[in-house]
Amino acid sequence: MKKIMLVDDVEISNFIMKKMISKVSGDYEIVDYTFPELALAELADHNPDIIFLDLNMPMINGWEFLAHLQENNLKYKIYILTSSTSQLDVQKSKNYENVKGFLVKPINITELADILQTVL
Amino acid sequence: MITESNQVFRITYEAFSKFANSLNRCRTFEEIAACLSINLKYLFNYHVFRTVYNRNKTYVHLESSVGHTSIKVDKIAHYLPHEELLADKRNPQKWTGITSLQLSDSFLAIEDEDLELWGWNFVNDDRQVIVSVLSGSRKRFSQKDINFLKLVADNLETKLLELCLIKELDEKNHIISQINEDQKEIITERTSEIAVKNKTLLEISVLNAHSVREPLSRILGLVSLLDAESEEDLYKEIIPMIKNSSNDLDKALQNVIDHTTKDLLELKVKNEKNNVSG
Repeated sequence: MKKIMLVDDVEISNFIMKKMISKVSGDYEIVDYTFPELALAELADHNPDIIFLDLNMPMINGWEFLAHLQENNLKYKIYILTSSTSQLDVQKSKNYENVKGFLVKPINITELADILQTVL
Repeated sequence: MITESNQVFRITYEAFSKFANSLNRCRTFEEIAACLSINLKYLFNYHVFRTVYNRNKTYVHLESSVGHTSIKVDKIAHYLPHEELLADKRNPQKWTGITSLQLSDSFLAIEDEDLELWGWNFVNDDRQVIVSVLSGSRKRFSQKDINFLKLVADNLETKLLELCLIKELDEKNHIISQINEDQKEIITERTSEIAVKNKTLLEISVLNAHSVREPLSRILGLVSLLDAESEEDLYKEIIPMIKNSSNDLDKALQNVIDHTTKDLLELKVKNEKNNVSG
């Protein structure tokens, strides 16, 4: 079973994603984290096929999360999922090989279905 | 018929006209000195010819003797003792016992018999020209030379006024361009201040937009889920979450309003301070 990891400091955001993913298909295993540092620590245990990552978070933000992956040469596929519409953030995200897409909240269900089908 | 005295007058008049033309072309004080050095000796006899021109607080000292002419612009009168007397009394004078007059070295260096010192004070509106001529038996200045001396003094006064006015104008232009430079600097400074403020305001507005968009995106996401949910889940989960997110949105907006008001007030206070100091 394919595994999806959600990293967002706001629990409701993770809830929305879980609901939406289950609407697309019930065939995915989902793990969600509101503490990105914990998500990093347990990354190897889960070995997710795709990670949806928020940018604006306390303690460790999305960019630091990405930097950690890069430094440790970890090839996880990342989709940024943020409420930021800033073009600066879009440009910055292109510097990370892990980042496969930049999504702006709220994501719609067709968009999500497309991504899950192509990537997984 | 041309008499001998008429002939002399005609030659002198030609010399004067040459002097007047040459003086008219002068553009600097040094050129005036050079012009006098060349032309004055053809108009009348003298050992030393000296003038002090004064207008406002500007004094021009001009002294011409054989082989030497000097001109100096000064803020102080530096009158010789006999010039002090002329400045006080204003009527023409003639001294014969000049050793008692404490004259400058250039006067006392003259070796001649029967030295005479002539002096005039011409006043024209706000200008004053004190002229003195030292003559002796070898170079005798006489009564009939006075007409030409007056013409020389008059021409000289007009020319010196012109040069002094040009000098004043240059100084004022300099002050004006200095003021312009200062203004430019102030404008550049203020413009960069405004640019910094604009950038700050832009950053604040972008930050605000993001902080508001976060809870709003949640509400939109939750609303998109409404159709597919069972009534139980709706009441148990989704609606409380919409309430929760709506409160967050309200807080975020309150925060934006408070911060923006505070920032605007700070900018206003800074501007008022600038206006007072400027």
